[in-house]
Amino acid sequence: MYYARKLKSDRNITGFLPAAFAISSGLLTGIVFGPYTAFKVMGGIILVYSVFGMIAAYRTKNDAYRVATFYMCFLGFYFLAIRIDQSGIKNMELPQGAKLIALITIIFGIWMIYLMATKRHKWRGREIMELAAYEVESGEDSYTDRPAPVAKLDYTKDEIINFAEYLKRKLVALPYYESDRVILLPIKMGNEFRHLFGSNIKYWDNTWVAFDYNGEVSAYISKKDYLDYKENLSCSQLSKSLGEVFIEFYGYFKKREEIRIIDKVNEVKVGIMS
Amino acid sequence: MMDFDKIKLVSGYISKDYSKDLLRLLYLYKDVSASEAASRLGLHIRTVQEFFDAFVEGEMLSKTEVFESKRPYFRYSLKHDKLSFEIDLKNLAEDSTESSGNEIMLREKKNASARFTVSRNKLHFSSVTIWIGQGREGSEKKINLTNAQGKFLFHLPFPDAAFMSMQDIMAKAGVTEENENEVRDIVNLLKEHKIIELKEN
Repeated sequence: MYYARKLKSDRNITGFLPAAFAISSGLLTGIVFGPYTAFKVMGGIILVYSVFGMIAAYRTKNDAYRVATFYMCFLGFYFLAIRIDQSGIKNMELPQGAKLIALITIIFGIWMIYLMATKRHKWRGREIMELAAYEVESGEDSYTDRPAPVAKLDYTKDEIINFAEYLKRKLVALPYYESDRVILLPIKMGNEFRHLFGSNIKYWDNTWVAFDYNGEVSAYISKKDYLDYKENLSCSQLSKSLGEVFIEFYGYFKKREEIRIIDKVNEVKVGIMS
Repeated sequence: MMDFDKIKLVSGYISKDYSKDLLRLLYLYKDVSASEAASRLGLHIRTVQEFFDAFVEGEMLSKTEVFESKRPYFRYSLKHDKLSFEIDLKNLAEDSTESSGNEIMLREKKNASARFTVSRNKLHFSSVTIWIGQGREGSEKKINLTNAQGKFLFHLPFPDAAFMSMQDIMAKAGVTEENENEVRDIVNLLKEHKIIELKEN
């Protein structure tokens, strides 16, 4: 199925910032202090990133985050292990241990690239918002800052928690658990950092779909996400449609056809970094 | 059954310090003029006149014009030996309602200056904050909602959705008829502040 783009193009560069910071720090240090210090600084920064990767992997239980964490960890150690004298990078020495670390780093690097290329390291918020908007008519600005009741379903608390955990592992949505319901947030790439590493997140101000333990499903579109569409869309239809996307996903999950959820989000052709 | 405004007027005068003495006098005398009562109790004649006139308006005293001397004057007498006030609160509720639930179709108004706060862990609103006025003159008014009101507003159609009758929204929200009056009250208030738009069916 072809999904006409309803969202504005993604100009968010947040995802590139950590890499840009590590590289530019390395370059600057290299210019000022030479290549040896540059590699050590980059190694240190990458090791710090690997700690964040570990937190992300722990929070999401996502395989791609685990692989990325190992990759960054080994890459960081590799940079710390290599020896370069002041005469330059041509005289780089690799101790025996560093060679092994380099080999493991390459293996994890290839594995990570594969996972990224197959979108297993990608938050699917953009795809979800495109799916939600697919059949929604455009019109006047009808935005309202309140959630909409969508449907009443029949499920148990355990079922919905398992569903939420599955969506989290696949980076389709990030769940927040409240005493009476689960709130599922479709996270767009670049917005994941504050949810994964931030504290006191006002998650209810983001776009969400809530499944309460009595079977009530409701959905809310944030103003920011509403304005991210190229045109003004019917807010009531959009909220309902967003809820229905997750209800459809739940239907697949209940039938043990989870792969259909991934197939569905993959139908929306969005770049791996947006 | 008395009119609410009349009860309000009479009650105001009953709360005065001198009301007990004046009412006692009215009970003891067959009828009395304002000047007689004023001189008897050491009050200003104007004070007594206002007191008596309020009770006349409240339909508790009768006022008769007499022509005994050069100038006519009024004599006041109690209509009943007991004063009783009865307010049917249902009438108050009906006063503020324009039409019955079935006749009103409603939805949220476009670009309404209101913020609905969702009750944590519940599928209803806990409060609605309304912006009154514009610019620097504007102010916020926060209304804490009852459960029934919060559920009702949670199911209120969006600005671009089809109008729905009050009864249908109540049914969808699981609000029972016994809460209808409080729901109607919030509807009227939000209509007044242009948060809700109504359509007669």
